[in-house]
Amino acid sequence: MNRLLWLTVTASLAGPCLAARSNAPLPTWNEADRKVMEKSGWLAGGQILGGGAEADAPQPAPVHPPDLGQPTAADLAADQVPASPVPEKYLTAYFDARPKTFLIDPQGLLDRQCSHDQLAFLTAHAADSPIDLFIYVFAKDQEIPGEVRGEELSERCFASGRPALLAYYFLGAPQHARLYLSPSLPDVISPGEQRRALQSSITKATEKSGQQKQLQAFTDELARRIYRMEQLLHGISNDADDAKAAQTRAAKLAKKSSSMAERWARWRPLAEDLAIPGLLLGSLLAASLGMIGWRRWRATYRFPEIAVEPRLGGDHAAGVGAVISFASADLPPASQRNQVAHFVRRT
Amino acid sequence: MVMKCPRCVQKIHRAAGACPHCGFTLADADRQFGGRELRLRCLADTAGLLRREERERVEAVMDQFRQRFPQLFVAIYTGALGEAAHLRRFGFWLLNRASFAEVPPETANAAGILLTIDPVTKAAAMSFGYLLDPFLEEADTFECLSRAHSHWLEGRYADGMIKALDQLSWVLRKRSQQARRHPQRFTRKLLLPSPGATRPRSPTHTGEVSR
Repeated sequence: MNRLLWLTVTASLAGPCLAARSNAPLPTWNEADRKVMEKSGWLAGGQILGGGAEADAPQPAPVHPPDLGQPTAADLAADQVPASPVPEKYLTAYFDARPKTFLIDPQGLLDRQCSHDQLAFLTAHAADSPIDLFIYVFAKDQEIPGEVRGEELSERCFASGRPALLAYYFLGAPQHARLYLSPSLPDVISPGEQRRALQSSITKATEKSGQQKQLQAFTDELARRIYRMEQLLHGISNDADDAKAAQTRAAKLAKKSSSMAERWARWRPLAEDLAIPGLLLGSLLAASLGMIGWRRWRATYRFPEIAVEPRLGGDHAAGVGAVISFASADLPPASQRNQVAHFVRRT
Repeated sequence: MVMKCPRCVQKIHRAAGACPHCGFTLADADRQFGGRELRLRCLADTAGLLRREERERVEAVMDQFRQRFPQLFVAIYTGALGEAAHLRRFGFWLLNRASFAEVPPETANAAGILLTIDPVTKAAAMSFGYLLDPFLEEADTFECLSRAHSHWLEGRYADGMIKALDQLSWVLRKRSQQARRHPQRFTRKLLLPSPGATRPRSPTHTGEVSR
């Protein structure tokens, strides 16, 4: 431990010294000493001070980059398409307010069938998903005016209402597509996830040939990615709910336990005072109840014997009780009580 | 106190030698069921309704009844009697003519309660001796039979018997306590032929509950 401490202190002190010395001129051998040392076969500091064998070695020839020539006009044309701004007359339709439909194509760049299919797909997606998907369609060579910013558009038009994902799609140039999220989403969907969604959608689109198929592939993939975002949203919402519920439960429990503890603390002295008398009283009560129950169970009951005149010639009995029939499950016992003589019933 | 003839179920005078309505007497019952003396067990299951285990359960309840009401006993008879209306006459006749094996000789059949069940006609009756005449009414016996009714409907005769005996115990316990508190209430129920005819047979039998 001490050694490590010394090493640290030494290094921290030596650092500035070495830095200061780096600007000082390097020492040199005088010729006489150098010759003596060269005779011994080893020259101290030879390599550093330029006195070694390598110092005398020939320098390698400089390497020059191959001459590939200047880019051709075709190359430049392919990479840099001259951009034309979106006509001003469409700007209102594009960027004025939250769109009424999920496919925004005021220029009519898509044919009718494709537009219908896309709109149907996006509408169906909106019905299934809590995140709406708005596709803004532009031509390949069009440029969004500088005063229109996607972030500003999402904050202005999509701050309220359902969460939404806005995609600027350039027909025939899916690689230029851009993605914007409504203000409620960026907190939940990480920039990495957004980037991956856009990249994946562009990749899917570029795999297809034909502008409209590319748009379809782009939209499909983006919708799939939105599903993943939904799961993130749902998970966060569930976690939040669970956490909130757990917090509520914990608070209730804590409140209950604390109130019980307070109550117990308040009643404890009294309970301690009354414990033994209460126990005795309870035991006495239980014993009394047990005794009463036992006496009742063991009790015998007697009747006064009252002389009754014999009737109908019977020495022991003449009284008749009830007669009941149990032939029918549908009738109550009272309806099956037999109270009349059989010969009366027959008539 | 209302008495009814076992044959015509009409009200009769409590000292009537024969029913004033139909002329029924014990001799008529003897002609119907036989004049000989019978010796039966208290649980006479001649119809074979009870299995051994059920029989033991019922006998245990009957023993318990006897311990609780030392003056009384319960007898149960099961058999085919042909007609539901015969049950009354049969109960009247059996309580007067039979002797029960488990009943001590000093206990007369007047202290007996007979439950008769005819599984063929699906009818049951309860009869009782003179000792319980002032304390037990036809409605009480009907209540006992009602408790058993649902069990007998399902053919669970033992359960029905036990339920009926439980209810009978409860009624008799209550009546015994009432008789201890208000004996006059029960003596008044009897239509006395002459003043002073109602008297306790023994000075010890005062209706008090002994424990």
